[in-house]
Amino acid sequence: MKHLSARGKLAFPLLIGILAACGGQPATPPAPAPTAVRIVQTVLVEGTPQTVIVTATPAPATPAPAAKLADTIIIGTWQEPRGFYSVTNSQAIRVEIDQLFRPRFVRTNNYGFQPNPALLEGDLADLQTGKGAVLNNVTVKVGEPVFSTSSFSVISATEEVTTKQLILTSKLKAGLKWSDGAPLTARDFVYSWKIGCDPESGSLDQTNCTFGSSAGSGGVVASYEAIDNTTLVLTYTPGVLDPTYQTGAANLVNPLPEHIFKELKPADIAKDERANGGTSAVPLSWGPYMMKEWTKGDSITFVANPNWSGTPPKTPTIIYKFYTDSTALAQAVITGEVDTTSGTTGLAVDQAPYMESVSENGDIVYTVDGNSASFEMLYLNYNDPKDKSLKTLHPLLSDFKVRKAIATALNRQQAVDTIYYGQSKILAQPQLPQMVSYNEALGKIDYNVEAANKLMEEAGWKLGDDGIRAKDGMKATMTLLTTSGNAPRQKATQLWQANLKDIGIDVQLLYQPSSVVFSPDGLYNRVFDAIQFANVFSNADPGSWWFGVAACSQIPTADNGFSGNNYSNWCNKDASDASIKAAFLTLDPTERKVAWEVVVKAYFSEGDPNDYTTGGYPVIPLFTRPSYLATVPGLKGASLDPTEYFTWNAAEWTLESN
Amino acid sequence: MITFLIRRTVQSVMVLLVTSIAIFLLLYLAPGGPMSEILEQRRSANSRFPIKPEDIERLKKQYDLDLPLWQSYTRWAFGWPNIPGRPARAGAIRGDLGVSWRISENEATTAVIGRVLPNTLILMISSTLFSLLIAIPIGIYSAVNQYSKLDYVVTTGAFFGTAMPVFWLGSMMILLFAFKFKDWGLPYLPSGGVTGARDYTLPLFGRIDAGGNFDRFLRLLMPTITLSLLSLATWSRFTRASMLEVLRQDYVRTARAKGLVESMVIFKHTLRNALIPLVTIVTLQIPGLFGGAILTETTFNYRGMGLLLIESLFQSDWPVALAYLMIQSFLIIAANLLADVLYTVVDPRIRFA
Repeated sequence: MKHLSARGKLAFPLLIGILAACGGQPATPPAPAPTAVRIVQTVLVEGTPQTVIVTATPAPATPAPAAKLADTIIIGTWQEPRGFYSVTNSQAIRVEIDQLFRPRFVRTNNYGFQPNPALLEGDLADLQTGKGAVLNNVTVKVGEPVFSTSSFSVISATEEVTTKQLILTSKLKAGLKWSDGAPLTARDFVYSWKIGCDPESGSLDQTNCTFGSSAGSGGVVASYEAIDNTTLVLTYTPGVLDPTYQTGAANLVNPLPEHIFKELKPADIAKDERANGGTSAVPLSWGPYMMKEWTKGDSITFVANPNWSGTPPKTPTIIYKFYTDSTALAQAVITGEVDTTSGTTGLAVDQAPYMESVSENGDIVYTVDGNSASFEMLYLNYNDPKDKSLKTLHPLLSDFKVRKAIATALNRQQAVDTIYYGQSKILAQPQLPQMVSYNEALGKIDYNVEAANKLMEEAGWKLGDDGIRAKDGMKATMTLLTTSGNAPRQKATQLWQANLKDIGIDVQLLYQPSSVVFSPDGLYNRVFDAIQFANVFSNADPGSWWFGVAACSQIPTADNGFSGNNYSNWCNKDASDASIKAAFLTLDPTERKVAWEVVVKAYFSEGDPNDYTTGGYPVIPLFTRPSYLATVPGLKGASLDPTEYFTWNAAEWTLESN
Repeated sequence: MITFLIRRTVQSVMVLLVTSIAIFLLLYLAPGGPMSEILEQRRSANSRFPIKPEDIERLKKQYDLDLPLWQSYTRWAFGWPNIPGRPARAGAIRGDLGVSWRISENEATTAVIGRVLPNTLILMISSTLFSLLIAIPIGIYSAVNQYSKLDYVVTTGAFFGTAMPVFWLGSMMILLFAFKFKDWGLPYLPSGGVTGARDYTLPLFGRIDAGGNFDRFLRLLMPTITLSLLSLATWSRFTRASMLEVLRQDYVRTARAKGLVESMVIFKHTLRNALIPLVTIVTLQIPGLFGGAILTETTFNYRGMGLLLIESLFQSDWPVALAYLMIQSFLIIAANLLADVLYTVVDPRIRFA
């Protein structure tokens, strides 16, 4: 074990730093592009001589020869998927690779939804027009499943109620086929859903299963049916209103080929290489590519799918090549061993300055996307975690003014500049500007140490000789918990520590493995003063984000078994009710927007001074986490998207051959 | 000798049993595990319907994590008890080391290990042989020509090799042989990996088939040299010291006094005795051959056993980590036993009652 160390990550900055210092071989200067020139000439316009300026681009002296295209593109990633069985595997790298051979039926580019025209007929489901979506009034009898607006889960009705029932219909393109030539029909979707809802299947999540189908079933879906070969109907349990209903019925599950698995028990499918992928068999495809070979530990090869009904891919072969870490991957793209890094498990901020310098030589094309859908945030606990019942006020953080002072004292721009080299974005509110719930006019957080110190004074925390404030004989101290092994996050917490020292708060940093931070010993049972982690959105709808932040019912306590995501204990009645309405009770965009405005206003407000739980600033937004992509200069078509996997258009990619 | 072997074998089995309990307990009592992914989903505040505790229990059952710890251990180690509704297990004692949870879902851990083991064996055996082939002659020369110029050069080189961090040396080699050689138009080496994914062209050598033997050989060069340098330095120093000690023995002086030629004195009378401690060290290196070299493998993106252990620990794939550690434990115990036996072969004076 003497070779054990920090995975060689130290080596890369050194290596690339020296490379950059050496300057490398200067890139061959590109041929000068045709330049627009201004030509001044006198012409006769309707009998009167006039001077006009004609801006023209002269034709090149000789037409450039068409570039020869390579037949293979290699994508590098530092994570190998553990399998391809979508029922048991939700890894991001699995879904990224899936887009080559099992693309989504509804895509999520740039925070929106777009039907995949090669797979789906028609447009997105729309309640306004009634196309693909209807909302019926139904009467639920005693004992039948219904969504409870008090427990926010599906329960057995205790009395007869009338409520809404959402029904979605999706129409598949006719003639879709699996890569073995068998027809892909709506029944393959229903089969997949049934397998995923079987208690023995090992599925990760049984939320979308019928009520009572297993002990852990969420009961959200009442039925999922194939009306014919191309028509799918998804009926939600009465009372369940899905704000992302536009994705329709086809996006509920990934289809499974019933014709090859129908003889197997649900528990055995996960062990079958035709589902999971392996050295002797691979999963079937319904996309532009199909999996040809998986050399475990090394690479997966995809070739054009002859049974794909859409436009054939421009590059016949794509290889996913696996590396040990982002350092090795960066070396591989610089030396041209791979043509692009992965969009999800590719480069990190560690490599950013060095990749920038290498890209200046023209050896790679390096892209940083600061508008990613992921952001860091800091939760503040209103209660003292030393009291396990969480009924004691936190001596420092239960005060609204202190929380506001902390938010104001954090120099987030400095963090962005020093940790992310200015390539990240600070957030005004605890949500992304792209969200439909966002309205910057409702409030924003600005850095102002003077104002923060004033707030601390107003809160009664007086500065001591040691620079730490105190109140009633108690020092202003707190712990800040976050995950170990995440260098940028740890650097940020060190900066917060210094920032808060400026307003007289002493911060002790605690770094724990993510398995501890996200466990009952950390986040879930609220064993923290302050905790930093990230949240990721997959589209512009906040879903239940604000519900998790603001709903009083979502405060994890010993009484409710520490369930819920309101980790701070913020309980402002107006905000709570509004967050519930927007998350569960209406699909009307206007009503939801009004509800979110109530929540965001409450977030910035002091609330009832006599009730510490009502004051805002439960969670402080920090900054977005950028995404990174490096490609060889000849690769065209690959780019980052904040909410869609970058392989979504891989069939369009081309690579100029050397 | 037989009694000794029986006694040591029984002791070894006991050590292995205690080791398996200790490793199992350490892994299963550590935080994390396969439930971390589902807990991550639960953490996601955007999920409108948090996963129910009953659903978490369903998944725990799948991994035997709902059983008392002793039962999880006995099912893993001995395949007992057989519980209706759960897959039957043969137990580690019969070679069933379970299936991977995370690295390669549902694949036998032995298959996962078997896939990377050849890479590690090739790397480790190459570097060991390379080191021995150079270290022993250097050690002999340095001892016989003590305080000569070459001895000083070799000694300095040995300190350099010992002091050199593997990741730094590896990175420097990549910088020079992969990046700069390519820039200078010289035959360069691939920066890492066991095989390439695409054919490439090297100056002087022409087109290299990705995955071919020459491709593999080229990719093996840098990690082998990097890894060799450390053991080369250690072993050459060790041989030198051992040789110097033996050269001062009376029987060597006697051999010279009898008029034996110097080569006979060095190679027959001195080297054989000087190698005894080296045999111990090299024999104890056997488990290391299977264990791989984590830093070297990481620096050169070389898929081997060391990297597998790290990945299994990072991903909480306990069956793979358990299988690796148990195989290592077995090999260490077996290597110790072998070293004891080899003493008797190399040194006739040593006999066990």
